[in-house]
Amino acid sequence: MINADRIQGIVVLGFGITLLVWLVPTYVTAVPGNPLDPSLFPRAAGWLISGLGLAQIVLARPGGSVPAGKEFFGFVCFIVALGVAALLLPLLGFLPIACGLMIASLVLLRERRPLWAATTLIAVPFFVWFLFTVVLSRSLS
Amino acid sequence: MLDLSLMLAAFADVFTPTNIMFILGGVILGQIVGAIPGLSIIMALAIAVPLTYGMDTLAAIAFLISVNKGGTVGGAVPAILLNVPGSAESAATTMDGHPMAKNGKPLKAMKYALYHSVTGDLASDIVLILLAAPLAVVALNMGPVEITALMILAFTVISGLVGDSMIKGLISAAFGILVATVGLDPGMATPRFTFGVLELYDGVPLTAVSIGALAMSGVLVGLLSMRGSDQKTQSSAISMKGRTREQSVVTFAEYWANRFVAVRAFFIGTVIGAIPGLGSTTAGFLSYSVNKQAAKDPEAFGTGDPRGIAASETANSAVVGANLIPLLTLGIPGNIAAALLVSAFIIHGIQPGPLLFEQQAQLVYGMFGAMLVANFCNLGVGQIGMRFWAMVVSAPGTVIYPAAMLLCFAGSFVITGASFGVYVMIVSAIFGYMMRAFGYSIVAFIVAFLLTPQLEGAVVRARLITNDDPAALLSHPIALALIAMSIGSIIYLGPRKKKKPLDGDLQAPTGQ
Amino acid sequence: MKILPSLFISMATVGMTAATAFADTCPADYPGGNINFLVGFGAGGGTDTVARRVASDIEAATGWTIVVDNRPGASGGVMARGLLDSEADGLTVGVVSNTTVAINPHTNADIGYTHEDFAYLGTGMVLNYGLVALADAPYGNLEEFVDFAREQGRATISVGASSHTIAVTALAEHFDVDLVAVPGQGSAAALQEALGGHVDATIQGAAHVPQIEAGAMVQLATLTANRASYAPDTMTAMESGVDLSIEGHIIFIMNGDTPADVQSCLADAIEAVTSSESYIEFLAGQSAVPGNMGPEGTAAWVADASAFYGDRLAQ
Repeated sequence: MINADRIQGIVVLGFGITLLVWLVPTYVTAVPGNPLDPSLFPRAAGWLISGLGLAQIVLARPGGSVPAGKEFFGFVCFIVALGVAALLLPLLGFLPIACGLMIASLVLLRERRPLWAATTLIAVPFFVWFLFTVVLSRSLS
Repeated sequence: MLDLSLMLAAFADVFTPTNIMFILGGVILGQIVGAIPGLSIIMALAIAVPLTYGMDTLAAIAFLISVNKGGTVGGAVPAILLNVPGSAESAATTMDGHPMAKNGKPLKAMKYALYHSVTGDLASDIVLILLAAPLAVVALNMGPVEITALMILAFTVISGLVGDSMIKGLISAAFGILVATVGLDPGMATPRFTFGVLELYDGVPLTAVSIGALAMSGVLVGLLSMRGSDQKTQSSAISMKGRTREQSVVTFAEYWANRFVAVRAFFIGTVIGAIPGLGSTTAGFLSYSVNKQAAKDPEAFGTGDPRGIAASETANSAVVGANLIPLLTLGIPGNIAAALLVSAFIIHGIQPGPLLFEQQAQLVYGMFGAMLVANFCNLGVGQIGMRFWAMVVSAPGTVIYPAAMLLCFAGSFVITGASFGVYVMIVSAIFGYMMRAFGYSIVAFIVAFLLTPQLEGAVVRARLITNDDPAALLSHPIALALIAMSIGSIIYLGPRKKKKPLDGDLQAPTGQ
Repeated sequence: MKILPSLFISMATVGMTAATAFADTCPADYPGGNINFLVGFGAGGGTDTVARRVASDIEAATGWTIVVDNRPGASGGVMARGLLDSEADGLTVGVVSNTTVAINPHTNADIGYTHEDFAYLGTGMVLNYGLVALADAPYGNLEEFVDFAREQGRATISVGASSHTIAVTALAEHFDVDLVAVPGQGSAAALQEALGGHVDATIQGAAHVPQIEAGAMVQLATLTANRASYAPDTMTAMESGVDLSIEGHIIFIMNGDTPADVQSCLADAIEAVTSSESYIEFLAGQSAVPGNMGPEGTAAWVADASAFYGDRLAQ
């Protein structure tokens, strides 16, 4: 029977096998038998992940949960906004980026009350900027 | 070693207006920084150290210790009110703190957290003052072989926390182990899974991961729930209105009812704190797990049970005093906070070492006095602070959650001073959110991620020291006892698990 | 095998070379903005402490504003590589250890720099590495320790950095005995293991001095070129016939493209701090000395150290 848990099991098993046959041999130095062997823990993790993925496929319980489509869309929007902000941060500086992120949040949250919207848009970025750069003297870009 | 007249003189040193002011200021700073997601207490301490250059030595040390103590109290606030831990060490507090707040008792939950945090802190300070020397000997006996065994025990105890699906919990833990191996390996210092990215050589930054997976994913859940809900009916993140006295006060009887939980939590926190390198996050989770398993009704944990708050907060605060044991007796800093304290000592011309007690007795006792005073300041500031935070959080979620998001964003930037920390935070938040959505335990992931470097380093060293000879284990009785305890806990937990499927536990940090 | 040049640069001549060789004078409009000290290690470590102290002393002496920031990662490598991308205007200074510039480029394929890419302003503190053991161990000097290792078949030495591992290998090779370097998470962890008796000895840079003063530990061998002030009776490894001298420095660097006259501003300021009485006293509290080698001395020392480690690591 196909269910969400079983599909996740297949993904996990697939990743575990990828680890063991490709990622660990390519990206980790192996000195088998040496007490210092750097590949011991990565290989152990690979075997654990593969084994547990297999167990998940075999023992999957019916009816695993899946997030609702609408909520998932909102999640993707927030992540994209964060990613764009991180990319543009070195170019534009913190305050413009922060205001942009706040505009994105307000749009996504459909906030219409002007006073609270203004608080989020102006007071919050300024507060965070003030806290980090003035109070804590840490540069933000 | 306890010279009474010296102690009294030293305590008198503490009670100058300047020192009390610095202690109070430190506690306030610590509580604020601790309560703000994305700002770590280590960051606050690193910033505070240069501020102490101009102070006299006792004021400087008292100030730094107060910042540290304030931080352990502050972290619980957003954990309870927003399901967003202010720092990783209060992550275990979300599990019962937030459900209790959602049940209409936010102030009560914060009071439980405050009282138990201060209790744990105070008790561990008293242990430090009275028993530092014998405890330091115990800590010294914990060599690589014993640490390996202790880590194995920690892994088995924590596995009681994996949630309603054992397999999914273990998968989370396995991924935690894998991610922890990124970076230079502890034995030969070769890069692993770094893909040519120099920033990954020191591993995936822990702070950025915990901001992303614990705090930011909680913020995202909050943001998405705001998006889904009708703003007119529920505009604040958590309702602070319509409280009765019963819902906002913790009576002594209610506090006292958690005494066995608190004692266990205190013991775990002190032991973890005395051993360098383990830290308060581990202590909080271990204590939560142990106390839940020891309870007659483990299913009550995760539904807003005060014992869950007590278990987490007592243990993570008990670490703070105990952490100073190796520092004051041997001159070895047990964690980053203690290392920052060393640099403050050095700046004031004092090199901590085994002679610290003999050469600087009055200063050390003055420091003890400051710690005790700081605990009471913590209690007082916390009482006022929680009302302030309750007021802040009564602002609409459309202000609070974006603000928390921006704080996480800025906080992860300053970890590395570059966008790298932000990228790690975002990727962790994606994984954190997906794990919540599909029922994988974030806690199991984070704890495995935290413990693996300790375990791996200890395994490497233990193999070198014993020359890979299993028979050498026989000369390590502490390690043998710890391994026996691990086996015992697996047997004890195994069948019990089947009898009582623990529904809904550990869904809590996932905000469901 | 090569001997590091520290033997030939005595403390007295260093000050002179720094003062005379730097003919360039600092432009009058320097700095014209905030100076940034980027520490290649985390807050609270030895490098951080020295960087912050030097920065605040320079501020007091010159009235410049210096912002100290920590950029940890890959033993200072992340910061050092970033320094090469920074503007060569003399306002960004890296504070690193010898590992960053002399060892990293040999051990780390992704590092993207060599020691020649930087301008060197001077050094702030010498770490006097020593091989130390518990006072009640059945050996009190290097010779007895080697005999012990030979009897037991092997001996373990906890280390906190890769340069220490190199020293252990060199000792083992010289005496033809099995010495096992046990890598720890930093020197504090290595010290803890030695104090607990889990290893037979440890290599330390500074934290062992209070232990020796308390009588808890003994220095088996001094690994620098000269004997240590806190253990005057302990022979150096070189006196015992081992061709080995390692020492650690906290080094101030800049982007190598910075004009020489601009470099001289901070080089002179650092020189003024490290020769000041209060700074020397500050380090004396940690049983350490500044040992500032000046811009040219530092560059020469780093070049030699780099060649030495490159040679050892290639084996």
